Amino acid sequence: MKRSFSPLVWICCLCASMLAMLTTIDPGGVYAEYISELNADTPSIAAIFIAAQNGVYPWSHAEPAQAPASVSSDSAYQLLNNTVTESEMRASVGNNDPFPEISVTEEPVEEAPAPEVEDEPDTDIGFITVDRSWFDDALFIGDSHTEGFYDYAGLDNATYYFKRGLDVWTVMEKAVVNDTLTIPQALAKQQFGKIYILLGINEIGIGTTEDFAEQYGNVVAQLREMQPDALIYVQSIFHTTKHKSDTSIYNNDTINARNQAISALADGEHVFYVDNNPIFDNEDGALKTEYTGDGVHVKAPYYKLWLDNLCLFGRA
Amino acid sequence: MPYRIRSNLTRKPNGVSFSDLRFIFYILPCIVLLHTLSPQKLRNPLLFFGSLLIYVWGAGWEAGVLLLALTLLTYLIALLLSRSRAPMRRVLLFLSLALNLGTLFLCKYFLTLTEALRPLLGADFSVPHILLPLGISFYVFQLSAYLIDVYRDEIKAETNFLDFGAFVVAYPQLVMGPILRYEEVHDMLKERFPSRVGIEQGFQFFCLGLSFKVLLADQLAYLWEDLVRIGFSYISTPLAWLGAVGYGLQLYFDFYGYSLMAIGLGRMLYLPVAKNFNQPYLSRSVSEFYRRWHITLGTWFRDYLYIPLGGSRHGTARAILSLAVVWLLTGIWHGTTLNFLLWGGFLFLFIAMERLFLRELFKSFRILPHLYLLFVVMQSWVIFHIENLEDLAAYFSRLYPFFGDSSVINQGDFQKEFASYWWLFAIAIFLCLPFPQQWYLKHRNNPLVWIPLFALFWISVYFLATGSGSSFLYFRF
Repeated sequence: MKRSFSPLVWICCLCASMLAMLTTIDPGGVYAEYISELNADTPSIAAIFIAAQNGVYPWSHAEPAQAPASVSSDSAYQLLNNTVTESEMRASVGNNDPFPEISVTEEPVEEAPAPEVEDEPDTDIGFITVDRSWFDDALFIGDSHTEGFYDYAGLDNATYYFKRGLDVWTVMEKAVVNDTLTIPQALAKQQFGKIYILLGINEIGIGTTEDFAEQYGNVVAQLREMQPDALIYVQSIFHTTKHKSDTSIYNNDTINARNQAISALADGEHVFYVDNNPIFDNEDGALKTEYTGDGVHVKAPYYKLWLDNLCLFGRA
Repeated sequence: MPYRIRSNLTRKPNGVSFSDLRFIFYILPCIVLLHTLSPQKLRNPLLFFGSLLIYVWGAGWEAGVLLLALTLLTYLIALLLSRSRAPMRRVLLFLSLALNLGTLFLCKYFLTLTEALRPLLGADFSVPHILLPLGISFYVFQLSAYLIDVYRDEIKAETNFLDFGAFVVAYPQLVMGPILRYEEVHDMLKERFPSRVGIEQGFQFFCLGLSFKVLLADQLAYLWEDLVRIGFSYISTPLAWLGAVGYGLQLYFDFYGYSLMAIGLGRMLYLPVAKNFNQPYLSRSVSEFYRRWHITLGTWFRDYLYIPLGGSRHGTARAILSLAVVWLLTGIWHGTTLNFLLWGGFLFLFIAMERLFLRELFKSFRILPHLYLLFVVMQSWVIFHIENLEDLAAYFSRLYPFFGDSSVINQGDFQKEFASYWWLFAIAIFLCLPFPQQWYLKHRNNPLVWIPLFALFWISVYFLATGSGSSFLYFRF
């Protein structure tokens, strides 16, 4: 007998109602903060999914305020290699939306604007110009910018641990090395002479500048402990184009504030801060539009400029 | 870890699309429930006012006023027309078409025109940036078709304004088509019988379409974004071809997904929403392709432009000329930048060649026409997609690297992207074949079908809640 009943719509209704009730009842008290961040007219069900992406489930319990807890991986929901945290970036990067999103509420930037930008390396710290062999024992850790550098800077002798969407909270926990090892596991097997870090663009929507800088400091401290002889280079977060900066959360003022905060991690002895922005910026301190296709990453040929800049920051 | 402060649920300034969570969880249940429970007489008013409300919520009241005004004027003029005699009828027809199509043209080309007139207007003349009213390209065509049908005495002018209004603005087809014909809708407009089966089947179509959009099209979109990121001049040739195929699949599932959602919504409301796609990638010629892709637009141009211009009845030369006009205007309908003209011209070239000799040539081949079609259409989408002509030239220089490779190209880029996307391509290509559709229609009530659909629905919702979901590619028309 031919079936004429399909319960799909009914069970979806049922589930939707149950999820909506869950957000209202909120047994663990975890959803209130997510719901408060939503647009007024967005269904509260969305909070459940956003929370899940951050590793918060209905059976989780609310954490005491302000404690940066350890991060749980959200890989269960990834369909692609690219992490879901990258998706926010793709949203503004995507070519599908002709009306780029307006800047959303971010905490007011209290820090002073960008530090003075210098084209020449600070000679007081004693940088020297080096050639590519300097990078034989170098490690690059980062996100999609480092991926582009790996693909197009033409520096084959270095080692690279990168993943799209990587951020300072998950950098030491994700299986970034050949998709099997975490960075700490890989670093236990090999010692590097210098470690270049570039993280920060994917965290623009998460946490305050202070939280970000503090966690970044934790990461640097961890690296120092695991690789005591390595020089650590903290690289500046790249600027976006003016248009991207004005119409998305990837705002250059925010980026500048965060760069200022992480530059303070440099101690002049083992940890250094490298400002790469001057090589790609226009006079207004934004990424040159002709250098980029998506407003965030530079196109293939420009990664060599970045490499050339790094060569100016060698040590004796 | 500090939680993500902001998800991407910022309001897009134009439209509540079907893949918006507000639509899925607020609007859809409300409309279906109210509509089903309403007495017969109240259904069209509900549809009319409800759709207008949703439209205004998403697109703004100015766009709503424009929509209402054009609908009202068309309604009145059609009534007048049906009571007039020639030559008044011609005048009225001309007037109403000028009103509708003129408004469309003005809205689309407002910015382009003011830029062209800038030397006259002076450098200080600043122009308010007017967003193209949502769906105007679709509803103007729908109104025009109605008017012309009344003029030709093919249908009787609708006397009930609320019924007519429901026909024009019914939300399932307002914002992105299909472009409905009054005579197809007329009977069900007057009397509708929403049923449990209709709601169940309709919702299944809706879920299918949603999955196509969010899980296929939006995911394939990242490939093209990677190419944009690298820079078109700097991708390898295999990657360029992969990108072209990827975009062709992305566009198809985006638009086809939307159309399925519209059909599903129609089913739930007992509204006949026309089919807009019929497995276009199985076509054997470009001419056939455009009888299977965006069907309602193609038939609109055929019935209201091509045939009035002479069509195929006055010899080959006239037919070719008519085709040229049709494709020029099809290009313009899709966009205001030059690449759309190029796109229309590119397709016209092949359609003309097919008419003149290619069709004869391909008659005895089985596989070759399919390869030919795919080869041509994939490249046509590249022209369709890249608005900057320099970038377009760069892309084609990668498709046809006769002038050598740039030294910057990463020779491993194709392998890298292919490794990430091959399975999406495989699924997408499989879904383009005839078997999945036939199988679905036969087995749709089987748990093996609706249980996965249930999962797909919630996975799609997850992606929509946590990602942005890009707006439908045809949304800006």
